[in-house]
Amino acid sequence: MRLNKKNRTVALIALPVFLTGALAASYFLACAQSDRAAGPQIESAREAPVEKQELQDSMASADDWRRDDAEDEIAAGQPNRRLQVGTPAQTQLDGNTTQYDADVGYIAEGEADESKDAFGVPFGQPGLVAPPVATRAPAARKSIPSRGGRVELNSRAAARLRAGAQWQGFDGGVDHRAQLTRYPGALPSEDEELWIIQRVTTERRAKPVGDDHPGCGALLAKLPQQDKQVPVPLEHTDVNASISAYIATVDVTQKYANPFDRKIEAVYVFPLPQNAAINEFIMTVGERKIRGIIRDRDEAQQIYNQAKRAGKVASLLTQERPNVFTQKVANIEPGKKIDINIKYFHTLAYDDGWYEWVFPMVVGPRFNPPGSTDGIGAVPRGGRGTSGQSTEVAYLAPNERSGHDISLQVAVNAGVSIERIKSVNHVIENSAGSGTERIVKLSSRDSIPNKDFVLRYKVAGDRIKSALLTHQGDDGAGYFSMMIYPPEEIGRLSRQPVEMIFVLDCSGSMRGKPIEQAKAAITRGLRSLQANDTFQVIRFSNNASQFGDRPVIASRENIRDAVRYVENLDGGGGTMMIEGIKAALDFPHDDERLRFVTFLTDGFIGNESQILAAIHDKLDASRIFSFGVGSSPNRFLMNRMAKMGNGAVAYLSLNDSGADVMDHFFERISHPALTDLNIDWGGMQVSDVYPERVPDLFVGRPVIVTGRYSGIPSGRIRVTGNVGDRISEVVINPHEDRGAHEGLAAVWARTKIADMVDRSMWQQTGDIATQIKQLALDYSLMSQFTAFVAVDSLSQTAGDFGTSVRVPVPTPDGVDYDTTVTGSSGS
Amino acid sequence: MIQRIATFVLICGTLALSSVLARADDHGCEQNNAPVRFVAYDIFIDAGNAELGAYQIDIHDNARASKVVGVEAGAHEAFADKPPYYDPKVLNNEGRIVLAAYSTAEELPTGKTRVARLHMQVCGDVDADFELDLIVAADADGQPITATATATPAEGK
Repeated sequence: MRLNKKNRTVALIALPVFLTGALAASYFLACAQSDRAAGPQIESAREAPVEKQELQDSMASADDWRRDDAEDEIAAGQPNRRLQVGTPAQTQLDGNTTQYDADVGYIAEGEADESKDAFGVPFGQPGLVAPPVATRAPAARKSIPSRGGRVELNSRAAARLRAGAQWQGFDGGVDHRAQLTRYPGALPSEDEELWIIQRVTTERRAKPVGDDHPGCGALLAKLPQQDKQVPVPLEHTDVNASISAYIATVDVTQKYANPFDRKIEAVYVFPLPQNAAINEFIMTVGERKIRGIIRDRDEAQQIYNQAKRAGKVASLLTQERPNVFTQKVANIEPGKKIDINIKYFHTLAYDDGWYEWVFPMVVGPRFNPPGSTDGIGAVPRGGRGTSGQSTEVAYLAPNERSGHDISLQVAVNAGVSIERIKSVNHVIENSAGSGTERIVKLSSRDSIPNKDFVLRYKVAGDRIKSALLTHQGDDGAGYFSMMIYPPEEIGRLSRQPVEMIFVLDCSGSMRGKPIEQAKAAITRGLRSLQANDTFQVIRFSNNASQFGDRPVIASRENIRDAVRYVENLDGGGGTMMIEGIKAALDFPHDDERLRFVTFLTDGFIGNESQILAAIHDKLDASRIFSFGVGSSPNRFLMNRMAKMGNGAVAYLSLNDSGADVMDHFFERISHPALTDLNIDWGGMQVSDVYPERVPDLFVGRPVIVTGRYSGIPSGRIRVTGNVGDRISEVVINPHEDRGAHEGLAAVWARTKIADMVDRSMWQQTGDIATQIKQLALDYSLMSQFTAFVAVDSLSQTAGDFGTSVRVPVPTPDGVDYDTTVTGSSGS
Repeated sequence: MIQRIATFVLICGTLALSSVLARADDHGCEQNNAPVRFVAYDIFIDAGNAELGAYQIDIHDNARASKVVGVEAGAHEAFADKPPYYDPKVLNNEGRIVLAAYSTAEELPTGKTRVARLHMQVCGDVDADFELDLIVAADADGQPITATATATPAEGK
């Protein structure tokens, strides 16, 4: 199923809702309403039979919608197309004015799966929804006076409205009446019907009111700005990292507290590095520290739910993507604090003398293609359930701030002299240290978690040596990690002519500085081409288009025209990356040239698996180089695209020079890669080496392989590969490692899981899923099939388990909220 | 200090705990509609006059009536800062809980001290039958010491 009219229209729906009495005008009545919605009463009401005939009529009308719709579509001048309206986002502008924004799409009858709505959600299921994130269409806004001060759409009802018709529904004893009013210039016409379908959650849970405020009392953080202060249950995140050689050990402590006057469950969706091997989870309640247990994900979820219902303080950590996690903490009583500590290991990236350590701070707002439901939805604070996705991130509006801040410290022990150190996005305090050690702290002036912390440090010499790190596990098993640096000689060789394909993400999330950065980089790239190269420029958002019918020779005129083409590109629309993949890989390969495909994108999509599987299927002889653009790009996607595409990844932050990053890329591809690598382990007995296929080596860019070994490493390790028609060799001495690397077992297991996950994208996943789960359980590792759960069985909180409060986060620095979250300005 | 847990002395302390616990099966409580409760057990080691610097203990519920849902740190300062580690492979594959910890503190506990607290989920109507096996206890120098291990239902916080 697909939407065949991309230019979504905007419908403005007036739903003046008459709440009982002067509900919203009265603070106390609002409190009462809040209590009803947040507490157990709502749960009871939700399960009670619907008594009002009006609501039953409204629901029943869903049975005969097709016939009427067909008539209306013809009348509306849209033959054979069906109109669908997403759940309207509602904003209270003032006490008497509520603004509704809704996304509208048409779907061709012949192409439609008649059992589903335009957004791929089956009809007849509870929770039917037309998710607005599927469209993010430009939305006109109108202010509509409502007679009640507070507007709430019935949470269960499907409202089928014709212009001028009235609708009435009941929920939790609250009377909802709505009337569709047509405004000039807005859809629908008087002959069309609009369906407004609100998602119903299938999980039994307390429902928050409005902006996730349980009850009426809250302790607000005091902030210097004039911005609206939003109480959140996450006060602070503290990050403490230590780096030894190229392995980082990171402790993250999230400090939760309940600022409300009712018991809550805190829910926080947050990022970690995509290669983080998370193997420790500790919950601190008061002075008591409780280690979490790794369990099968479903089992952990079940334990957590049971503990929550029993009134126990409990916590659950699940993985939504390799770099996106959800933390839940249940039964936090008013004023109480609970800390969650997560420990992980990961390897650092190294590039031309510079190591890079990254701590991501916020999940960027993702675009999910129409029909998807397992993506990561972006919703405004208080907009729970409106994205239609299994995981949602709630974002603060631009004029909102929470008191959540972050502190961060990194201790670097490079082992060799550190020549330079810099932070790309943040202000840091760089303490003095010895030549090989530094301690870096995030400045307290830069503690808003809205961009990745990126620390780069340059070590002495132009290049590092290939090296082997080893660790003997408690069970006697040996683990190793080996960094293979390319041989010096390939830097002296010149490259073949190339067929360079630049692919630019022009979706709404790239609007502004990110796309300007990317355009500057492409312009530099175009001007760096040689006369016997060919090139193409492809842009994509909702669809893809390109500079020429086919790659053109890199003549001065063609480059001039292409630069103009690039200059005129702008951000807007969705992120249908699959269209960009097809356009970049679905045409015959030029045997005379090496094809390089460079993707410049923030990677804000929720369907990473689909994209990676498409790359696997279509790659052929192409190499993919991904450039993550912006302050918080999707590094998991960027890294995997490059890995799967036999290329490399680079990042273009808002503070980087696009020209410099592209120059660096051209320097790398100006020399041939060392391909078809083969490793002779000498006297070392190795097994389970990952990745199974060792990536090609580019100038200045080492690769890391991890594995297990038995016995004592001996002899010399020889890595050979092809440079054109020559054979080149790298030799590594296994006796030079004298460090202690306790994280190597976890790093190895995490790498093996990543390799299996990659394979699962194009293979049957059943058996692989079992293997991943077994490995993750054995090594106490987070994965998509395992979760950490911790329960304080001695705690006993009173009453119901309270309201779920999500921790809203700021949009990443440089990303437009209206474009990416509310969809009101063209994403 | 690593030597503290590198030295092995087998000391067995086997005990059966009869309590008002309910049976858990492999598929969890909900499938049997069994009542679910969360209870805690304090794990003690009595090292007599010796200082306790490290230990490893194997805990098994013969009745398979419980499921560990958290491992809490000990009471003495030397073991209060970080909860003991558990062996995930043994827990995952054999259902036993193997705990281990060591301390580098100047002051180490003597006599009977709570070294850990297990938070358990229990369900059903069959009593649990716990067995404790103190695999090793060592002093500050990593030398084996004679000690015994016991477990009792936890009270209060």
